[in-house]
Amino acid sequence: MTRDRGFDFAEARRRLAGSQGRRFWSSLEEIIDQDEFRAWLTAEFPSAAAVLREPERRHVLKLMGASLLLAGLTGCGDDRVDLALPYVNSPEAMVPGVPRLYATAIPFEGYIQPVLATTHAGRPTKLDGNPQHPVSTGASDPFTQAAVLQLYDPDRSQTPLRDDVPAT
Amino acid sequence: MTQIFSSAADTWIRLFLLGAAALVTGGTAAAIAFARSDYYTGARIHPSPQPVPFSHQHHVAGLGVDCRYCHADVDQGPRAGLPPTHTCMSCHSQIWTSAPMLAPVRQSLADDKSLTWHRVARLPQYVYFRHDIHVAKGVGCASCHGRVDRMALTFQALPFTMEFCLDCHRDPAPRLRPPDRITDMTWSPGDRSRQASDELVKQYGIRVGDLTYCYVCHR
Repeated sequence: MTRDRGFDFAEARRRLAGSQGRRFWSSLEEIIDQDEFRAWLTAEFPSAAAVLREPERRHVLKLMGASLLLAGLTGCGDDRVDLALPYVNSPEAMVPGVPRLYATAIPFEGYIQPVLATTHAGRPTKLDGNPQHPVSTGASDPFTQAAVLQLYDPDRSQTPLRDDVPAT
Repeated sequence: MTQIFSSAADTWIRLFLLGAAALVTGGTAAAIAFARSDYYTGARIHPSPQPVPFSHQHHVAGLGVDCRYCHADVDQGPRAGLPPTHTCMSCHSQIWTSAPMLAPVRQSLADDKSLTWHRVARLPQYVYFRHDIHVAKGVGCASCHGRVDRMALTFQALPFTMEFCLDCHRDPAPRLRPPDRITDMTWSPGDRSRQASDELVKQYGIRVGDLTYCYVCHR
């Protein structure tokens, strides 16, 4: 739904404060601008408009059941179609399917922990203590084990930054 | 007292029982036939079109390129692997350099983007399979992939059913090859004696009885 004006929070609060009993809404637009929202909904989903007008319990359950049923269909289909994307230039000594281990380190509480990182196709998947390092001699703790997840944190910067600008 | 059942009731119940039995046996037979059909196993069915109409027939039978020139990881790791674009270009930067058929390969090199192939030989995810151990123990490429040297376009020649795997795991001896014949497409055991086959099993150090444990393939 596109709108050319900003959202009016005061109006939405006023309308919500004035409403009685249980009232359900699926988006803020629905509260603030009922007429315009209805017009959009009717144009976009004609069959869903009736449900919103008279939200009967059975109707909602019917729709819910149907969507659950149809969700199962995603399991069907031709799974034989599988793509293979070989390297353009294979990295040295890289064997697909064989993990590579790197002796590296991760910071924890201001100290560097020596670790052995397992990588699959260039992606680190597991951290363990480095058996050859005198500090840990192969041991690790829950924080080290969990640290690999930080690499896949969606909030993590997607690229190195310098002054908030992507840099290499 | 009136008769509850009509005179035809006996015939009807017999017909019903016969029909039910036919349905059960017929259904089972149909399910088994479907599970072994080419449609289900993917064997002998041409896959989706590939970016380049690569001909194994031309490269293997015609030019005599060894399997491992392109599928270099087959004896190193679990996957045979597809050749990196650079491997294709090791020849095709010299020959057929402007063939329109090879445009996607040149494009891949120029853009540093992978070629997108459709996989031909696939196993289900619940199967643990490694190429390297099979190559190391004398199983030839053609034993599973068929006569690839006769395929103008690559397809899966044999059905990768559990039965297919077990046939060999129960008694690998007759199919085993000497180490220098693994990639040979034309090799056949000929009239090799059973002793010679068993000798090969001993040479490779294959523990035949262990090959049929569940965990060998399902881990």
